[in-house]
Amino acid sequence: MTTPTETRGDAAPAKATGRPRADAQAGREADGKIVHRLDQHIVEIVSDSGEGAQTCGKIFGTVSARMGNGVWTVEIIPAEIEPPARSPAGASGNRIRLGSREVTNWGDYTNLVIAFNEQVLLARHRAGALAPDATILLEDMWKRHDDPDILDQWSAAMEELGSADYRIIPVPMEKECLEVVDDARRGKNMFALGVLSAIYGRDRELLEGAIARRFAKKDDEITRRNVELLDRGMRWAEGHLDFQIEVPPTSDASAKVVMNGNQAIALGAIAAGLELASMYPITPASSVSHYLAEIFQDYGGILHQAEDEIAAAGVAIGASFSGKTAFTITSGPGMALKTEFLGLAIMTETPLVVVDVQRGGPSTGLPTRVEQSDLLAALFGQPGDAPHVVLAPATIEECFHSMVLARRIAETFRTVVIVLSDANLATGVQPFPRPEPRAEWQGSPPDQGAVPDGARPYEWDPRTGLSTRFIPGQEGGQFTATGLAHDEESHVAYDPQVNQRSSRARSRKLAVLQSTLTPPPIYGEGSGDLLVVGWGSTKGAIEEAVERARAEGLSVSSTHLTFLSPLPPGLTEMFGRFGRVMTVEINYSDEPDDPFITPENRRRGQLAWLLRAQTLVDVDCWTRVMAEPLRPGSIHEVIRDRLAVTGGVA
Amino acid sequence: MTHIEKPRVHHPALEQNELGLTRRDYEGRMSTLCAGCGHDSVTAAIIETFWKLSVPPHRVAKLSGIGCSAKTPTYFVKEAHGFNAVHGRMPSLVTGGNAANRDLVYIGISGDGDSLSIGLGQLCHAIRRNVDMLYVLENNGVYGLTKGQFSASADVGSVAKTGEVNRQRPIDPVLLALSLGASFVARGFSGDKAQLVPILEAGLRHRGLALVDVISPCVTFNDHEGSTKSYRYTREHEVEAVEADFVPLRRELTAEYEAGDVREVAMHDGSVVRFRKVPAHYDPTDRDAAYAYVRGRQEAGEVPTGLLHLDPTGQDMHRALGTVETPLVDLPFEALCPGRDKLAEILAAFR
Ligand SMILES: Cc1ncc(C[n+]2csc(CCOP(=O)(O)OP(=O)(O)O)c2C)c(N)n1
Ligand code: SF4
Ligand SMILES: [Mg+2]
Repeated sequence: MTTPTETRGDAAPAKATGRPRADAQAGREADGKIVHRLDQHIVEIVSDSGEGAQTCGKIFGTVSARMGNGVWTVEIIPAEIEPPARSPAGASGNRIRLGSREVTNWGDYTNLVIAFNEQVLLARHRAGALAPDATILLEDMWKRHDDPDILDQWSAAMEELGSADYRIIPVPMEKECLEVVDDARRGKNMFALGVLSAIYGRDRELLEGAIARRFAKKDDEITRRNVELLDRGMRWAEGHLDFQIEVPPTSDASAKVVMNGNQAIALGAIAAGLELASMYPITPASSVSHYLAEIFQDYGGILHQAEDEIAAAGVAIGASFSGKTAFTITSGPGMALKTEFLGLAIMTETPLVVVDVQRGGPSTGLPTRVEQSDLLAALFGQPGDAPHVVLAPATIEECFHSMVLARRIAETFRTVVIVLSDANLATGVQPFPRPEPRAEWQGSPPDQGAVPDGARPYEWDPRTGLSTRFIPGQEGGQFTATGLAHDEESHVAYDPQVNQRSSRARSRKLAVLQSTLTPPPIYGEGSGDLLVVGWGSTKGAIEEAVERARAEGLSVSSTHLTFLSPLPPGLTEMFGRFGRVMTVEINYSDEPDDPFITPENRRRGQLAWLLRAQTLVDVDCWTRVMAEPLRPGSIHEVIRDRLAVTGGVA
Repeated sequence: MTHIEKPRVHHPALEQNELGLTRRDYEGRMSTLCAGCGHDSVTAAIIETFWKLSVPPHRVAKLSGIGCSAKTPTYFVKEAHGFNAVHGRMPSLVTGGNAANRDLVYIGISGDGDSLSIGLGQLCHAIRRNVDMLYVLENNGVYGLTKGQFSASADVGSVAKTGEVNRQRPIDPVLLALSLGASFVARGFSGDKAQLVPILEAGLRHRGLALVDVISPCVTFNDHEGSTKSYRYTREHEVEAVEADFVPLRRELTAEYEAGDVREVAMHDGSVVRFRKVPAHYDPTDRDAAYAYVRGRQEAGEVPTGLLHLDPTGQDMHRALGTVETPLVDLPFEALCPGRDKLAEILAAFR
């Protein structure tokens, strides 16, 4: 059993069986500390909600990114809205994966934790979030507390934590903070930032700058006091810890931005010239509108908070109809409500961008947690034949650019484009090359000049199905859009020929879009024993797993789909070059050897379902709905399993 | 063929409006509704209104949901832009359309099913936002298009053609709108065009949402003995609470009335609504008074009609939001988007 210790033992958060190779090189430095040189490390900070661990983590992540580290930050979200203090349900904070090259996913298990009390630490332990040999820095005021209940809780927690091989280091956070502030609950996060910054050698100037920016709206005294706490934390770590961790920066010095996926969607929307957004608040999509509101406030644009998701879709369609392509953003339950309106936009060929930041489902499901379970609903959820485009960004950078792409496609093809993001992208923070906005992304207002004589609102090109959009107010461009079956003039038509013709036009547009796409790139060799296929936010984890497996000599590659409708060309041919094809997804699928499950009744991963139908290849799947992103280590194990490699992952 | 074009023969003697257009120019396609349907009379009043006010047809956007009533935009202002959308959701489309292009003249046509059942929420929120539009609710107490089921506006005791008696209290759009603080609330009757046209004119000029509930009998499913939305019942029970004239800007006041009998209310563009024969203790600009008056008359078994409430001071959605005067669709994108340089600046802050 590990007990709190102040002895200076070996603190190496080194590799262990079943854990990623950290490639640690330890060397003793002049001041007597052991410096562990690692190519990646996962650190987290947890507190009761309201104690500021999120702020601390965000600053730590941003500064790390600016210092050139690869970073992937994940929010640790409390299970309850108003949890009592010192309760596992209240664990709140940030988890930062640092790398010496680009970090594309959240990684496996946490190597170092700083926790404000033992209960929130327990929550992380019970969630299986921590590496068994993790180093833990723990506020120690609780073990000396006057309240006997707290003392009991402390001992019980130590007992439970003792089952793992953690190294727990007590930190007198409260005591140290009280030297600077009267209420330590308002200062511990900056002290903790100081401790972590000393351990990881974060740049003091960048930290001070980040703190100043964070508190820019408050008076200078607040910034000064927070910097003092930071320094105190740094000094304490320098004086009391026997180790440091060095994750060298990447060599890439290009200009970067650091943001989460929802910020990227908001900024991407603005870069795409989508200045009218409508929504109804829903986790995890709402924050897009908060970021938009901040920018619209200064620069113009309309953020419309509708009375529900139906109206939000209506407002966006109304605006698009009037000539201003708009977008609406929501999550699963809201997607369900928008269904009828999506059909209307598809039928009337009104451009519309819909962002679905997926969460766990069905119904209210797991509002804050990631899942990729909306794929089939996004593709086929609209009654009637309703062809439209579905695309899924795989990275935070792609969240930005997908908005530009979505608007372009929506307008060019006069159709609905659904962008499937998810809670993992929405809250993950990652640096990526700073986009260079281009004027043509934003596009100018639609041409409102007079429509040529004889032009019709649905002049479907017989080959492509495409037609030119008319805008209300345009002279000669008058027509009545209708959700009823209609002909080229938009006249209601029950003529069977017209319905066949118009359905063909709407469908053909997808094939035309597909003809402009190229097969997705393959990560690894172009042929082999196993091809892993993914979509959306799992890309980084899948590729990291494939890389590890390939390093072991396994013949595995992966490919990742951005377009789900239409699918990119060349998949059947590509799949044919591999012995087996398997999707990896965050949605539910039956395990093949579970009771009652047969190959015929097995419900497969949603992408697997789609690929089997479209390619006639016997695509297998491995999926999990564990309310968290997939770990590269888990995918690595599955790859070994599928390729029948025995023995643990090295 | 599901629509019928009307022959366009212009008689040189046809009266022209300021744009040189005749009433025929404001017509639409031939109606396919049942002969005698109240909705066709409302259409006729709408045509008269747009013609009288010389609204350029291509600056009109007419939107509707689904229902017999929702079909009628096809029958007026043929040269307008139209959107025949989904059941009950016309208000949100107008809200979005108006947000993107505030320069168009928006008219939404709805039914009692469309607005008081499936679309009740959207109606309330359009009122709450005071979207600048004329909202015509063609109220027949039934779902005409789906063949005569009771709607939410059916009165207690009203008998359906099948003999079924309605026992549920109605949702009254006028009282609802008044309680929500609508800035323009009126009730008309499809059988009284002389009353309806000035109401529609004022509603079209009103800046904000003008709700006009029009009793518009369904001859096929709800015009029989025992119905409270029939022509006969409405004629027998209607009381014209207020008579209102609409005097557009730049027209001289011609009719003469005795002082004290007339109450004039100026609209934002300088047009005037002139209320005549206002009952004692009733001020149409006072929402509470209007509510009390309408309630009182209804309790007495009457159907009060007229421009029942007008508050020309209210802010419409754009003014409340403080948006720019130029419609979003016309703004050069540099003026609206942060523009390329500003965007680069914003991105630079995400270091
Ligand atoms: C979502 C949906 N549900 C039901 C319908 C069927 N429907 C069409 S019109 C209508 C009622 C129309 O009643 P009202 O609005 O009063 O119009 P009216 O025909 O009486 O003028 C219904 C229920 C539909 N089109 N869409
Ligand atoms: S069914 Fe009723 S509402 Fe519909 S057109 Fe006929 S009379 Fe009018
Ligand atoms: Mg009706």
